[in-house]
Amino acid sequence: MSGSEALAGTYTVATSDEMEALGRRLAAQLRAGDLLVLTGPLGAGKTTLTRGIGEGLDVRGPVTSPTFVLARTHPSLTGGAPLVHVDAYRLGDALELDDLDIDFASSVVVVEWGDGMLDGVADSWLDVAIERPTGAGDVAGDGGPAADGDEGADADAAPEEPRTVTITQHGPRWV
Amino acid sequence: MTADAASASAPVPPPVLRRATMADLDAIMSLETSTFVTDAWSPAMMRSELRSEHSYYLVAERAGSGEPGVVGYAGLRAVNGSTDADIQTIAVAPAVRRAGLGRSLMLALIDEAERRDAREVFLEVRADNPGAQRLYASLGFEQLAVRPHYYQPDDVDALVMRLTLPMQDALRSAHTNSRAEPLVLGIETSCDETGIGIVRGTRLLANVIASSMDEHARYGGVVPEVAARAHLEALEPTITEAVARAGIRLEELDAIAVTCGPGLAGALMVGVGAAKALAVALDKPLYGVNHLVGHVGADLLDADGGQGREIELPTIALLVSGGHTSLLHVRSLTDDVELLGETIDDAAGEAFDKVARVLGLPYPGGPQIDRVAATGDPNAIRFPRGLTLPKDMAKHRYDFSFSGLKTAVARWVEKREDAGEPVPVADVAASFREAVVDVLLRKAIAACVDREVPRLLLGGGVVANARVRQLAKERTDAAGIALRIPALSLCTDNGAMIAALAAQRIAAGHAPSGLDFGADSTLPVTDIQV
Repeated sequence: MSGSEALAGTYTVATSDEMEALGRRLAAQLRAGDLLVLTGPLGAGKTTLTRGIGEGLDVRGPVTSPTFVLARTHPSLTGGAPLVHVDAYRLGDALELDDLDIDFASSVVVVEWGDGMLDGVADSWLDVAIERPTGAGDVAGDGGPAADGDEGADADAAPEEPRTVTITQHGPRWV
Repeated sequence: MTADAASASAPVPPPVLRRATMADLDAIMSLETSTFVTDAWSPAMMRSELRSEHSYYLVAERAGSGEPGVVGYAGLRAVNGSTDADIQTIAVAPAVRRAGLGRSLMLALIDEAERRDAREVFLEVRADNPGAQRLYASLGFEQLAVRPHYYQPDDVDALVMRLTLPMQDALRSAHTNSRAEPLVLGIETSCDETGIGIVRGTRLLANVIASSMDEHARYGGVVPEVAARAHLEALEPTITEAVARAGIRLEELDAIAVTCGPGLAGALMVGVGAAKALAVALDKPLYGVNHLVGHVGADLLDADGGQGREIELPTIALLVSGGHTSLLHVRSLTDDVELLGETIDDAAGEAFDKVARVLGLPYPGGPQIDRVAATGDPNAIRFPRGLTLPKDMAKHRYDFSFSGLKTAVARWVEKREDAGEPVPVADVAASFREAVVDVLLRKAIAACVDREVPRLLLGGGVVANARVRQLAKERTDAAGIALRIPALSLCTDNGAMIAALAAQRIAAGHAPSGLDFGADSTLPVTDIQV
């Protein structure tokens, strides 16, 4: 499997732009039938990574959060495999995922929050775990009280905190 | 007479009707032999018909793009001095059926019969062609008699029908107005509301909505499969109720309209399937239209059923709901809508749902946060305003991002909880809401200013949020921008806006969508109709 060695590992991603760039790098290794499982807390950057994958696959965008629709199919702009972007957070189990009737074989499928739900769906998949700082583990921009009248442009910026992305490969496709 | 193809209601833009000449004989015969396969007239018969002073033959000719040529014809026989006239024949090419051409040809022949002082118009129609019979009945023809075995070699009976002249004004005006003010039934199933609306032009006749919201609440959001099943169950009773409220019969409709995207694929499919079935069963033209442009079209209607109004154009439109956050530049509702920007991550309504979850509030989050925020301080916490910094302006001037805001709220709450401090839920809710509404209106007003369009139209379910309406009023007033907010019953998803948009497309002369389209969950806003 060409290039599969390059995928597994732990990456430190400083900004959302870097997260998208990682997505594009991943996309270069993906083809129809591939499955990615993204895990990480609310706001970790799962959709941001998927946006990069969508850019890399050259599918019709925009790639936005699939929470509302559960699953969104982005057709390829170049005749390649479509990207199916699934939010499994609200699904109870694999049976409900089955209800979505996703064409795994001819699509690149990215499932957010899908850890442990995909047993039996595929022999091979990529686990992508994204961690962000939580709780008091503060790094930057606390968006704190504005009572002192300090409302400069910086206060309007979404704070950029580094993420840790760990990719592990499973199954014969990635051996 | 032979009347197989007369159920035709043919296309818009309308082919031009003109008096037939001998030069049209070949084109007419080509249509005649392909339409009336077993009992076509001979060229000699047709030639003598065209030549007769007692005859009045029209051809419908399509010009311009597509395949030009004769796509329909019809003939009247009205002997000078007689009070009787006969519809001799009518045929419409298959490619242009179902858009009113058969009706237009019939009306033109009836007009000519009146000009020739006829008092009654007769026709024969095949007993096995109920579509044609419906068309004639809708024009005021009544069945007089049956002529057994009239059509040979098919051995089919003929029904004899008669229209008494002058034609009733009500019938005539209903038909002549049907293009300017068509009677349209709209079906909307893009999300969790089953919406059926009926309009005549821009007048709202019925707007009935069945929601499956309660069924989704326990899942913390809309579940497409649940929505699709709920649509299936709700469609028939909702249509029945809308038709009853409008006080019409389904047969009177000029067209069926349906949302074909964007939205939830499975939910859309239910509506599109139902619309196709209805169009085929009733023999009506079908218009598949864009959900988001429909939200703009909602402003045509008066929720109380009064006469509608023109939308002042151009306008900027801000559409915000659970599934959409879009900023549009609308130059023409029927032909020219530009997407200025949209969310690059979470829709605004979705951000409300997710922050509600962080704060331990139930689904749907919008009304919950609105309720809790009422007692909070919107300036207590300065949450980030996504994509409003100078560095964002080049690529995302009119785009929205609520993901960073959502994360910031989660981080802020986590820190309090980790520190063992109470979370001031009201202040967090109010400050979060303020950040969302601030960004929505900053971008919308910027678009109005940049594009020199002094009009802003709001649409979508998030318009129910009191703070959105309040801040929109303040900021548009300050900027000298006219603000339009349709009634809430027309801002949330509904079928009336879909019907209203299709009615405008019909009035603008656009052809129906046919039956070959499907649901498109990511239909771009520039595709106003498929």
